[in-house]
Amino acid sequence: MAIHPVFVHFHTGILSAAAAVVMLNLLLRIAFKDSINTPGSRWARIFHQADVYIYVGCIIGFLGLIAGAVTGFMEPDYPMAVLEASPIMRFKILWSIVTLEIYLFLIIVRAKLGDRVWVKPSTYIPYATLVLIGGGLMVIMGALGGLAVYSESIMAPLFDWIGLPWP
Amino acid sequence: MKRGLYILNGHRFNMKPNWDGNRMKRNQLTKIVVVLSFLSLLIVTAAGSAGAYGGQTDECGTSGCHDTLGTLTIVSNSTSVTATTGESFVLVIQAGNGAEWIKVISGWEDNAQFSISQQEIEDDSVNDTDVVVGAISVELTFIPLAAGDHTIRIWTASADDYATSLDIAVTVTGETVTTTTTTTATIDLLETWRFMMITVPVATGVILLVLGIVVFKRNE
Repeated sequence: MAIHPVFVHFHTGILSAAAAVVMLNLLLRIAFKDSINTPGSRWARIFHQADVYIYVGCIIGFLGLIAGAVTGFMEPDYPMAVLEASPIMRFKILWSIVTLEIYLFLIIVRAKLGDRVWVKPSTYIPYATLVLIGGGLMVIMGALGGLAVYSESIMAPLFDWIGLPWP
Repeated sequence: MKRGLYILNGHRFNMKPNWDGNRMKRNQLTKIVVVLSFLSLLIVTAAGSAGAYGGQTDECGTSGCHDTLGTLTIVSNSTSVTATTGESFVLVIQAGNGAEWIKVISGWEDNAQFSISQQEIEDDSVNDTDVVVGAISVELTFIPLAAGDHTIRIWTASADDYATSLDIAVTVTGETVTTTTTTTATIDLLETWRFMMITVPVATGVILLVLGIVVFKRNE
């Protein structure tokens, strides 16, 4: 029963989108600092909603990654021996764990600091950077999953352009 | 609601704010219902799109595969091969009578024991040498990775609920220098990966822990 695909696409999309949204917030924070600090202004509302999206996205992503890992190991077509024999699967497993740690970190920081996470560069720069790294890893792992199942991915030209080694 | 000084979200209001707790709760309830409905729809859609027939995703040749279509054909130039580890051999696979795909899924039977030139060929794609619609002909190159008696399972499918598969028995002899070299390299990579499976997450955890301490210290 192929249950793994049901559990991976949803949060992969949300986390990829979160990486895009965090770039918007970075732009607003750096370029429109005064506007977002004005309560009730349009930019402040957009900034706040984007921040909440990133936070909720991280939570969904964290839970989705766990569900994806559990269902991945349950796949009858891919027992551990087959997973270990495939370089793609080895990459996915290893970096899924790292991504899981990143999103757990982001959830803790955001839960502890609230939207004050965006006040100081010492917090919002690592916060935003890690959301970007997590989103990037999710895109790469999704593309590798597509490669493993369909032998092709729409991300291939992009990775060729970047120069990432492509199996 | 009385007029006077109100504090809402840290802001002080001297006038009655345009805020009604009951109305807000009703609006939130509506929003929650809409969002939950949308998420449920997404999950149902995702579950439905995971396969053409969600309950028939098992390996072909077992009971969970798509129904076999009597007229859908798949043949190979050979169904019994003797090979040597590390040395490639070619099979000419031909599928017809409505075939739209040929696939050699890595997890099926012993397919993972081979390096395969193409795992997926679509009808009328670049690699399909048969120009007839509904017929696929392709040359697949296999390189055995390990010695033993293996079975290659090749699958073909047409539209709807029609699919069938072909098994090819391959006897691989592996007591050669090539075999030893290949096996050693694989084991080395596997051991490296197992080592990284411990060190990389631990290192990431330590880095994030230090980063977290710095972040919280600076926000005290």
